[in-house]
Amino acid sequence: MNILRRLGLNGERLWVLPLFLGVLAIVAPWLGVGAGDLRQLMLVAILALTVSGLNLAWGYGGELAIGQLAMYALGAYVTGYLVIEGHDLAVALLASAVASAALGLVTSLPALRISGWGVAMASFFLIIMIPQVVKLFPDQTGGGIGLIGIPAPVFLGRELDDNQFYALVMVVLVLWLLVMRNLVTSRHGSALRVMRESPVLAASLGIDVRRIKITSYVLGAVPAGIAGSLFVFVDRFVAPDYFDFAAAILIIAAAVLGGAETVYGAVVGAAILTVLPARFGVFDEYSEIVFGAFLVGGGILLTNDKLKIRMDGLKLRVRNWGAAEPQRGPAAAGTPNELPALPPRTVVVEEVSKSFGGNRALNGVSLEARPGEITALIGANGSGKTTLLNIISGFYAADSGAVRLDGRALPLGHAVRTARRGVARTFQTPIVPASMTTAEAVAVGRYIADYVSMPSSMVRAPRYRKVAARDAEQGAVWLRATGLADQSRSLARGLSLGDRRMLEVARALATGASVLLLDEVASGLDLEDLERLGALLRAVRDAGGTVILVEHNFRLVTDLADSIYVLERGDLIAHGDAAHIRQNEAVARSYLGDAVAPGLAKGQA
Amino acid sequence: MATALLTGLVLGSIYILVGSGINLVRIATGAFNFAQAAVVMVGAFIAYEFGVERGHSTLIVILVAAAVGAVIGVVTEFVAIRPVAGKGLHGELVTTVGASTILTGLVVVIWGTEVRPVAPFVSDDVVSIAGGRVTVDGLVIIGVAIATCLGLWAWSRLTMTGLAALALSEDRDAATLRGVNVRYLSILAMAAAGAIGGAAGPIIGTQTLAVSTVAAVVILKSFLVLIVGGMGSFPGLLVGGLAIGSIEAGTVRYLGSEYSTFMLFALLLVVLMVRPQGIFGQTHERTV
Repeated sequence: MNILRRLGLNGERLWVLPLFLGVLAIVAPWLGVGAGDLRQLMLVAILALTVSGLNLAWGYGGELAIGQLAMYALGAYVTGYLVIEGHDLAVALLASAVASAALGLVTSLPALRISGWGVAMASFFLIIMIPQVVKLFPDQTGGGIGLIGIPAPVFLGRELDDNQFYALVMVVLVLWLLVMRNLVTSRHGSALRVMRESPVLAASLGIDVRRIKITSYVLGAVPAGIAGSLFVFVDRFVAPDYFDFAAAILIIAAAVLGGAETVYGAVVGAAILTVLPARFGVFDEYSEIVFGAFLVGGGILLTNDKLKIRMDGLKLRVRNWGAAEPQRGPAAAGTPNELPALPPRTVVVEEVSKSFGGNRALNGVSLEARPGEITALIGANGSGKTTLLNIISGFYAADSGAVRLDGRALPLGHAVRTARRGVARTFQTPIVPASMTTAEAVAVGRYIADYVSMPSSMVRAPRYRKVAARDAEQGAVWLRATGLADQSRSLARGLSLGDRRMLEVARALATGASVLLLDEVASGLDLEDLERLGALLRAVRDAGGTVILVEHNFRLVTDLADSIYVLERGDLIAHGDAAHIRQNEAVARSYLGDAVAPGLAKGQA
Repeated sequence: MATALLTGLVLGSIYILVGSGINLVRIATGAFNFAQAAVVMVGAFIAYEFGVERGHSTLIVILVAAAVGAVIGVVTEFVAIRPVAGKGLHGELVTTVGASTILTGLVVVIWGTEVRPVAPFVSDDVVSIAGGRVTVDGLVIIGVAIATCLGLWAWSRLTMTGLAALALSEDRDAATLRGVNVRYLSILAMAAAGAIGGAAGPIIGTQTLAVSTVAAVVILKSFLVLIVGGMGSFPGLLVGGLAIGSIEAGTVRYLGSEYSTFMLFALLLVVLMVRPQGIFGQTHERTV
């Protein structure tokens, strides 16, 4: 370990290890590795590519692209056809990648309308289609008999011998893993995780869930298509028998075995499932039972929260290994006063009504929230506070009425577009995605405001580096303001409730929004956390932010709010500053009931 | 024409029988049980083993198949559904695909990959209806499928357990708070779905024969039927099943068998794009 550290290696630079192994694998033929072993390594690499695409879509994005085998088959047939027609392998590789991406796009279409396992099952359909589609194009695919007469690979005009082709396969794998690693460690990786854990949170950050879902299917299909393309030359033969149901299961089993939310796990899973059957002859007869058991066991481990937290902790330790400790103590905690100025925005709610079925949740409610003020919405359970918050933040459409931001109507019912107009929110139960550090969880708020394209992130282009630097800098501002700076490298999931609420505020403000909607942000907080929260909200207000607070905690509201609106069963029953509301009879009745209220209100007055 | 339609109704009835079990489990546990068609396949092999090889009566065959199906259902519940239910990442789908694969693997180890015969259920005589030809067993399947589907529908609407299951599918937490025993219902549903699937095996087997590769195809087409009809809806399942079966048989008859899956996939995409909740499904407003 010390030697490694003396070489300047730490958690951040640990990628040189897999790269070193990759280079070793590339030059293996010239190190005297035998032909049989090279063939095995090649099969591992090809399976790993396919599995890696599934990891991207499923492990990170939560979209079970179960039809991955179909992308692989398509890649194989496209390349088989093209090289028989005399095209170069480089052309065939490109064509296979494009074709499988297009097929990935088709399978992602249902994701536009439904979510979850329905999309996965639809993509499963592709697998039972393979034999029929092959039969539909007998001249191009060789039909049920298979595609024979595939020539030796010619890459960029040069015929490759076995060793050179092997090296090409390995180079492709190494390049893909590099690109994949760059992608998942960028903010796109965070965005995928956010989508996986909570499409609602993603929308509230302005992230277009449909688009990123489609992207994950398309991107996950590409390595599978490339793998299929390369597979053609392993046996110089392609037949529909290669692409049966068992092969589809093999891919999922390898993903589960290596760890779906990993970059290099794909290689491990692929290696185990390639070498195991080759070493043990009996394995063949029982292979389906064993693969099935892997799926059941893997599925259980995959969804095991304790294991996940432990694995995330381990990964984090590796990443943080050898890195400088984050600053601790008062210097790092900072004061919320140093907030950057927020552009002033006024939110006006005009006569908004909303019913759920026959239940009228809001009845022509109007209010105004001004910049540099904290506006509070209070009322008993079921009074319509949260419904109004959900309407302003675009999660519900209103039956009638409008919400205006600086005079322009907000697109009600469109959370993503609302978020992009600069309206951010937090949630009653903080939504903190797993396997992200606090810093990452805040930085993902900047995904839309300071966007970097995927290609740019994949190759770490100058633009990516600039934005990454800004992420660190801007993120640090909000981390300091919320007192989370000394936990920036810790797992966000492991934060205390108070810290998670602060994290949500930091993330919301990191989007660049100056309208901040807080949904019962104080519930469950202890006194110390309440003080922190109060100081933060005052600082946001003083920086020019427009804060709308939905709250049960009467004392907190009267302490903080400049303007208070009281709702009762969907109707606005009072409006005023804290002193006014405290003495309002209707409010007291709403809170304390008819019997007590009148006397109490008089007593206070 | 009439023959193609009758063939379609028989096909559709197979999907309805499989779909009934899936719907039942879906309502009670929220999980999509991918292994349901594999249980039917096991039932078909039991029909081969006990009916053809050992010459037992149809009643014995059905009872054995239902019992084996129920056991498989309960084991699947304990091993593949309970540990992952509601934990995300499509865990239930992965584990039940695993269960399905294990069942297929077991069938291959015990009976091999060859196609095995299944004895006629009532009779394999061909009868003529409205100018179309269909076997008596084909008609039996249609009748059994409709009866099963309507029976489960009545169960879900008219009995306390059925209503409890429906409540569970609407809101798991709320139903639990009202005293609905989630675990008991989950086991009950999986046992019942397993028994239905197992018992359906000898009947469906008269059409598909006992073959280890049939499960994956049948489950996906049943899934399509459920999507078209509306997931969790029994009337939707009935209408969707008969419609999809007819479309499939019609495609095979007039375009050729190699177009059938293609056609169904296109149909799936269209339904998902145009009416993702299915014909009889309901939409819910998104909640935060």
